[in-house]
Amino acid sequence: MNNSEHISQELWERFERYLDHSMDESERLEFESQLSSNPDLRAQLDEAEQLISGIETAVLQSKLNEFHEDITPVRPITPPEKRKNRTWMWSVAAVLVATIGLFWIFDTGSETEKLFAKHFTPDPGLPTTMGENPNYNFYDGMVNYKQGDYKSALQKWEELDEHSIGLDTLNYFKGVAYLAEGNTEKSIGFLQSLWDSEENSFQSETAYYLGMAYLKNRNIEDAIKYLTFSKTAEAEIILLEIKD
Amino acid sequence: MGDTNQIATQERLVTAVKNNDEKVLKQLYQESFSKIEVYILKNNGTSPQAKDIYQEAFIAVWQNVKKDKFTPSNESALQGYLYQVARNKWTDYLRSSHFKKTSSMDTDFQLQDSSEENFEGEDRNMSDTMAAFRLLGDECRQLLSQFYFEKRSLREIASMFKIGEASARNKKYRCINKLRELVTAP
Repeated sequence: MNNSEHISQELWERFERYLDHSMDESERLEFESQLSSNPDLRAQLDEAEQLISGIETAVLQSKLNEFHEDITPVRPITPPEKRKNRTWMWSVAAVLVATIGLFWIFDTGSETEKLFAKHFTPDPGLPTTMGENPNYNFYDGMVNYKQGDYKSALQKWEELDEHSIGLDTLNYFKGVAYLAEGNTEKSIGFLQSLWDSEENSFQSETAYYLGMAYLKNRNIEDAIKYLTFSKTAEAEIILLEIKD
Repeated sequence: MGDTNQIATQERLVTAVKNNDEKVLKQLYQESFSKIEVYILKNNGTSPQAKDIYQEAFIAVWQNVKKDKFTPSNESALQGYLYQVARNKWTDYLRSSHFKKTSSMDTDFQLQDSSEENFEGEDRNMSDTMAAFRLLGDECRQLLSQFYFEKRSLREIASMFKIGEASARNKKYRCINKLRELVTAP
């Protein structure tokens, strides 16, 4: 800031009134006319605006730290380099499958359907962004998705260039939308390839919906396997109900 | 009709953000963080990085809302905008030379102090003001914060500080001058 000229209290308060739009029409017009003919006055107004904005931003920044303290930490996520080592998870899943499988008296058809229907809720979706967004078509489909119109969402998403939003995001929501629509085969296709890929921002969620897709498909063994991987609270509840 | 209502809700949200409504800012901040944190954690980031990037994005969004550079177009436009800005900032960071340097050195990442680093070019003045504001005495910081951020009237401030309204007005002016001195000090 290089404008260190004196600003009188009266002028400062005029700046404030102008900046917070509290001048009446005649005062504003007169002030704007002065501004247009007096570059020094304009420079001082700019300085006042920057000062006030700086004060507000400094206060907000300190408040953000306070807001942050109240946030519950997100569940820990496996870093990408460790994701490949899933051996132990497969072992846990295998033991579970064996234990549960031995005592399995599930009347597969109706029971798995009931369990699926009881617990399945589609991912709430991503916040939809402004119209000018370069990923407009994706978010346009997301609006349909959030309204429960999976068919329209999928139509829009199927036409998308895979790189427009990120392959993992696209495949994840396609997988969930197909599942919500009842097309488990297609759902598994997208979710399984996503699970097998390295680039996946929705690791835990993918496993969860993959497990749900297998559950709906009456494939209990894979359902248990992926629900175990997902480690979400919801998956644990379903696993307990399967055991029961 | 539903969309109209939701956009009206967004417009109320935008107005509240412009007015620095603390309750609304807090809710917006807290409800949108986890999605961005998950994104950054899954993309080579850490929790402290997610916090820094998110706060940077939050401030940028808040400034744009205040400058009328943002108009809601759907039911979750502001939240979506915040998410997009944070994602872009993280992408920019991953592409930056700073990230490549720290990665190649295999050292723990440290974002630059966001208050210093986030404001470049014309925003340099903003950064100077923010730094100067922190150097002000407690009373001036409180008073300016109540007036300019909380949008309290001089009467309310006078009662808060147990002084007359005229004193509050003069005190505010003195604090502004003090701040200007600190900003322009070499």
